[in-house]
Amino acid sequence: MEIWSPEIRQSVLLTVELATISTAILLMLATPLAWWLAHAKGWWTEIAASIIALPLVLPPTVLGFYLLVMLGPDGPGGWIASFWGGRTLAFTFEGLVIGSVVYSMPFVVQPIRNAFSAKGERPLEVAATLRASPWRTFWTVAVPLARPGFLTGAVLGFAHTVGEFGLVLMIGGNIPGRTKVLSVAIFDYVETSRWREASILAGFMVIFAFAVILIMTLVDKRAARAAA
Amino acid sequence: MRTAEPGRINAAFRGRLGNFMLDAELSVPATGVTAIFGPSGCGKTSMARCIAGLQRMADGFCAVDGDIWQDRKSFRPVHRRPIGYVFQEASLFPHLSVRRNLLFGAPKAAGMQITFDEVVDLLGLAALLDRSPHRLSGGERQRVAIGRALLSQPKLLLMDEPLAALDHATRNEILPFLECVHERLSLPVFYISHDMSEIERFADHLVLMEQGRVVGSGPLHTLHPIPLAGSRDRHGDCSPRRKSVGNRTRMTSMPIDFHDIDPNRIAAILYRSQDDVDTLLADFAETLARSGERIGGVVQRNIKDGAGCQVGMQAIDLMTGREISICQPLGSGATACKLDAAGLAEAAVAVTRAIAADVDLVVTNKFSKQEAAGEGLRSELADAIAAGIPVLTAVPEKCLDAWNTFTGGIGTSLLCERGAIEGWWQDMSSRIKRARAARLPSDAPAALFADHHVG
Repeated sequence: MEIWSPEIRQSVLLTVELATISTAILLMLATPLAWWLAHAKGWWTEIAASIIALPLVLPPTVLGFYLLVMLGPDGPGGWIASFWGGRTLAFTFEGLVIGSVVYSMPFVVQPIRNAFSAKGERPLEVAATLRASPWRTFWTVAVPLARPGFLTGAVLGFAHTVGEFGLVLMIGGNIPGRTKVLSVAIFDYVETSRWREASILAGFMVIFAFAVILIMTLVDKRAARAAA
Repeated sequence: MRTAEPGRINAAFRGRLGNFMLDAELSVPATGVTAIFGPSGCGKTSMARCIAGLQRMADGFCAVDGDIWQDRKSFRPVHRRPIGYVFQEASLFPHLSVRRNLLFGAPKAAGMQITFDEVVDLLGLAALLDRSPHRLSGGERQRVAIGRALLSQPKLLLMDEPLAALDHATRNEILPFLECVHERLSLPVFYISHDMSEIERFADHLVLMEQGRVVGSGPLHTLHPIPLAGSRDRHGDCSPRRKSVGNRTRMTSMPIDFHDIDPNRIAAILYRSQDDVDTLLADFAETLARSGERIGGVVQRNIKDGAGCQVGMQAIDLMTGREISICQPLGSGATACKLDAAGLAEAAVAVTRAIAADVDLVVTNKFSKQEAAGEGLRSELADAIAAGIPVLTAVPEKCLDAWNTFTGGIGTSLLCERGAIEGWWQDMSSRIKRARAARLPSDAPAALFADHHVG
């Protein structure tokens, strides 16, 4: 059997697709959230931050359980699915995207929030004294200055989505072409004693993880050099 | 003062900032440079931030040239106020080049009061344009920050201690640029500082602040000695002497090295305690000043009663001829008295100004016990010598060792009577004139400065 079998290819492509879409949505949601957390002052800020950070601590099965209930026919997920004639978001690709976004949110929000906080108010004040509206200040000063945070957030969000297993199994199941992503596929191959396929995918994941860590380190280093 | 008057800047702010209470009102002309002066923590910066709108105080009023920026009902956000703000740290955008930093706030439309090319020229930025801010020196960064603020075409320029974060040499590098800016633009400027020598150089109007309140306001020269001398006892920190004459840290951290200075340029009149060296020096210096020589610094004159007893003393700024401060008479029979703190601060300013104007001779009254102990005009004297300007002072015999230590034992000229002083000066001035004839073109800017100050 060749390494790049249709079955393996399908799960790799599905994983990449899931991670890309999730990362894009994550960045869109995490940016305003991180901005708010970095600038709002008040006790509720930390409460919101703690809620966002919950997936860091919760077992994926617990998170998966609640998400399954929410996405199921009787939850809001079922209601959303009814718009396109579906019955449920559970065990669908869309449901998987929602789950991944919730699960990876803290990994994206935290670095972006830190990057916003680290630069302080001064650059924003300077921009305001130079007649820049808050909108222009955000896009031309705050976001470029927080770029390392965005890079770290995006890489972490992508990597966590690729690597997630427990949550995917809970809400996505194991449907080839729809919810059978890499991590689940490896589990499946081991279950059915297809060690060769499992070792190919596992090796792929090791290389992927190594690349992610290497890229992050290099980005960090570059940011540190630019700040010096 | 909570009304908008054309031609004036009216501001009033009252409220709490952390554990600090600001309750300040001011009304100053919307022209020229207004210096806001006061000790650290007196609310100068808060005042400027309130005017800029960076700090919002509920009970506040601000109107510039009849245009209301804040009152009880309205608050114009910072980005809609036509201000330029120069912070203490240059705060350039690190992700933009110098050129793009400069252009960040520049309007696209025509009809500007100052153009990009003019700013680059005025602040000497041509060589820096394509550099990244982190490759600039502290002084260069602050110049870019000033240029960036100017290019946003402000109607009011707020400068919050723009030189405070810089070392002495860099400060002297920037001061001439600031003066050019003030001369080139008819822009009202609020210049915040705790350094009287900076303020003296270009402020027209002075606002004194203390503990969150405005305690005095007026044209510069009529105002400053009185409240400062008066407030010295209550708030030791408010004395300008500590700040502007001080520079103690520099003295101890940076040993003075005069070894590349021509020892002939430094002359000291050696005198005994019974000699009237003050009068000797003052007569000599004032004769030179009257004959049109470019000299600066301070001398002292004793004030005597009819019987010839000294009853007081007065110091004179040689460049302006202004009397600096008159001590209270000490009673008849007194043989010596000193300048008080405010007077000393002014004397220091006089010497600093003379150095900045690159005069041909700096005269300081004495290098005596005070200077030997690291106080008085010691650091100004050191600056003058380090600037390579001929220096004439007087040293009491008992302080000769301290003087030699101060000058690093390079062998300064020691003079004893008027004939020797005149001989030394003739020799020195003919050398200066020869040197000037040889490098006339490059010397022109210095001469311009001198004219500006004397006038």
